[in-house]
Amino acid sequence: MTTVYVTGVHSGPNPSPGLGVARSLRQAFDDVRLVALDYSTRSTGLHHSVFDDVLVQRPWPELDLELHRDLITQISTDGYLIPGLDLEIAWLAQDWAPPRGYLGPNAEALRWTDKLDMPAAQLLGFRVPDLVALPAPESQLHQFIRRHGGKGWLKGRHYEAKMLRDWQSFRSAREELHDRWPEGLLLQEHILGAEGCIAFAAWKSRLLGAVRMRKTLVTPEGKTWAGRVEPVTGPTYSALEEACEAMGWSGGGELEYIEADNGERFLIDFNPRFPAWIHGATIAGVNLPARLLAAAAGYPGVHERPLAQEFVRVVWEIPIRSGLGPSLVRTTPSEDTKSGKHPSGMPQLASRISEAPRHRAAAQPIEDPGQTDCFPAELVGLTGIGDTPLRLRLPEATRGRFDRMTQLALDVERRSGLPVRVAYSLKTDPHPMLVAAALEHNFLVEAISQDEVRTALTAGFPTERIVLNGPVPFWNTPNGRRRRVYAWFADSVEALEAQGSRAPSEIVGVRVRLPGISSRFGVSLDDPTTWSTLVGAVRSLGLEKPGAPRFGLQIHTASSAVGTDQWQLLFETLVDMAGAIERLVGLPIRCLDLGGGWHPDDGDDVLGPALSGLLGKARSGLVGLEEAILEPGKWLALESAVLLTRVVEIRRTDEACELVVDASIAEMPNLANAPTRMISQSHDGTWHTLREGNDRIVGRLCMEEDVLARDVDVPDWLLPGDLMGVLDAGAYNASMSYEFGRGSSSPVG
Amino acid sequence: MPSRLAMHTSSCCEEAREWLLLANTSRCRLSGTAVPGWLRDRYDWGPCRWPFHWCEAVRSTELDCGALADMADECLRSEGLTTSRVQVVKSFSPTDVGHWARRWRAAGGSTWWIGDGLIYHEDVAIMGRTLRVFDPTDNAWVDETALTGYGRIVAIRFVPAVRGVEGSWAAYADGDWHITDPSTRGQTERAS
Repeated sequence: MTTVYVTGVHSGPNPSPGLGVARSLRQAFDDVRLVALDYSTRSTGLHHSVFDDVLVQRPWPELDLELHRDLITQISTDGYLIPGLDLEIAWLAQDWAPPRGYLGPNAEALRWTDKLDMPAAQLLGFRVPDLVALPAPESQLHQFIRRHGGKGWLKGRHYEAKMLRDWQSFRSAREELHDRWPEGLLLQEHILGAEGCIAFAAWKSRLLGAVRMRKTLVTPEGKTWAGRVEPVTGPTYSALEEACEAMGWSGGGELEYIEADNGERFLIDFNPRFPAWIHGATIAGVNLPARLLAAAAGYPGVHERPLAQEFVRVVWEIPIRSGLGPSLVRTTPSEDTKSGKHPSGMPQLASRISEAPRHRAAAQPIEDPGQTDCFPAELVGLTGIGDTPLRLRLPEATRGRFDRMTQLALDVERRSGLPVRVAYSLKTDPHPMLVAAALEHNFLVEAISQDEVRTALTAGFPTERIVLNGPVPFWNTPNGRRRRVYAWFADSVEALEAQGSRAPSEIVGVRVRLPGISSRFGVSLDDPTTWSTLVGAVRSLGLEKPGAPRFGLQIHTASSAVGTDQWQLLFETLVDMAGAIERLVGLPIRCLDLGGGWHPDDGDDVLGPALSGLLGKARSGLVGLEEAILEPGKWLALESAVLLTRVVEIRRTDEACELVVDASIAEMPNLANAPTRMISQSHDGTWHTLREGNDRIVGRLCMEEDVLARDVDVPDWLLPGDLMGVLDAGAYNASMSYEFGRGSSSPVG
Repeated sequence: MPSRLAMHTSSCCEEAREWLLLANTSRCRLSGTAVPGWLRDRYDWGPCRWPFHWCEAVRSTELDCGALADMADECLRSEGLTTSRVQVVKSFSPTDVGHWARRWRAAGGSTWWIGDGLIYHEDVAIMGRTLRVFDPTDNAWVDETALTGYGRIVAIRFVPAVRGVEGSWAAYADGDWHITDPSTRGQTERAS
């Protein structure tokens, strides 16, 4: 009698495929002996009567891996084994020549499924989502999340995926998954579209069959609860045939993909085993596990009996297998916590087979900081620093930033044909150095209060170069006297109705919040009544009269909230909206004002290059458009300062190092939202970038969240008293810094 | 003929329609799909009184299948898609339709669309390389699974006309909807 072993038989809310494989085999073969092999009695499928016998192994931490491999070898020589656990498959593939009875992929085939680059995607005609492998510099991770609007997935290399909404959710997910999956995590782009799954079986490079499953019911965690199955045919089948041949595939496999609206398909996972829903395919008449066994064992064929094209799961109590209770394996509380979600012990196996988590690279010295934009030239040869923490302003770096912004505006104007003015956002960082730079470069300045207006006037700005924004820009107006400014954008219909006809400005406009955007600012266009009220308010301003102010629209959605690509689409929607107002009111839109909390990287790499095209399209669609105003804040100010700090204490363990410095989140309040880079000065005065590692840097405060850097490699030569720097200490890290835990000492710069 | 929202001569309805298209464009660009699933998120399904004007419809909390289909049609066409309105007869139990009839009568709505276990319903079709039918009331694509079981489609017709015939019956075959010969009534038969 042929014996087939099946591993990974847990059948819970996140099931493994073993039970479905066994049921499919039993449906085709009455006379095959089915044995469940798993690593805990908590694998509930062990108790199902489809198995003639069970073989429960000790948990992975206790197994001698050589002996266990010998057992698997024996099983696969005397009979057959269909593996159902990704990490088990990966472990077996290491230095192992699979016997004839092993019905799974070998090492060469497995390389095609590597989640890092998914080489199989190209064979299959799929695209691959953007991906970053962890560990990676915090700034790179933050950039990824920012540019994708906060949306993405944090995944283990073999198991688990957490959906992300923003940077904070990424940090929480990373903390949760980091220890469980030491072989590393992956940060993957979220693709919008319809989910699809393809299950297939192949034997020695020959495709035996494939089905596509569409989920028709899902659990709150997104797992399949019901589905519709149909055979794969046509070009997809052909591509899969060729791919199985190229990969040399044997065993089951599952492709998980997303099909975008435009028909593009993105491969998001390639699992090297049958999916948990595999028996649903058998129900639909395609018994892939049976076809696999028949091919391997040389059986003439498989009788397949289609029952329905759709399947549904139900909850079903079954008796416990005699002599096999869940209490058979004693567990400690900590193991119980770990195995609760993973009864087959995959986190424990991951710990055993993972490589050393991170290579502790020596800190990279900066040979010539003037050669790179990342390290301010002001730091070269820096000595004689007194008390720290100290926020050191960087005039040269700042001047460079403002020069580049000026050039960008000129380039965009030249290419788009639309005059562009830059308005420096005062609230971002009102330091005199930055305000002076804005004045010198002939920028406008954006103010949200009369206090800021006074700051601008004191710095030398004429009122005609002031743009007023915000919910209460006229609050605290001295003597109720309003100065004539360049532009004023109302934050609400109420403000527009109350102030619009008497606001002393060359441009009168309104900030809008487009449908689907969550914010407290701007006129919400989610509601048709508000839309009508806005249209009516604009109509009643009398701006069509000669000598009246010009009318403008403003959009200030943070690009990090929606993603840099989506931000550009929102701008196009703003232009459509402007066109609608022009048609309904009969009033041309003369000015578009754009803000968006652009990080310097995003501004330089993404939005800057796109602006010409966006404004060119706007000019084509709005014939009365005369100018655009850009309101960069972070883009100009973030890199204008570095926070110097000294090492106070170094705490080393065998695994990691924790550095305590005299700076804190009080001086860098925006760190929780946006990590920054840290550098250290060696005793010869050279500055060094901190590379990624296992260590962290904490501040002087008695607050759990006073952590300045995570996953960095603290140089071995660092000593108490040594100088370090926190880059990107301008913008909101400066303007929102606060005094805390310093008694009566003055706040830092 | 399929339901059509009406326009007042004053600007109120034009404003309302502009708002709908703007809201749809914004949401579609954010979501990356041209399908106006947000309509059903915003509006509950319920009785309307016809003639129903755009300015009333966008401000309602409930819309019937006709209003939803007309709005969905406008949204899809504004995204550059070629569409067709779809009229459907579906089969439900007399108990089910009894609930709906009472609710519509209580709201002063018309119950002409409710028969004896059969109801009239409206969807919208996207006509491209393949013909796909979207049900904005259920916020779902309509495929061959809709031809059997609970709430099954017993007849389906695409409007405007194809090949000069007013209304074109359709059938589902080979994974797609197909316009059938309007002289036949093959619309209830599944392709083998």
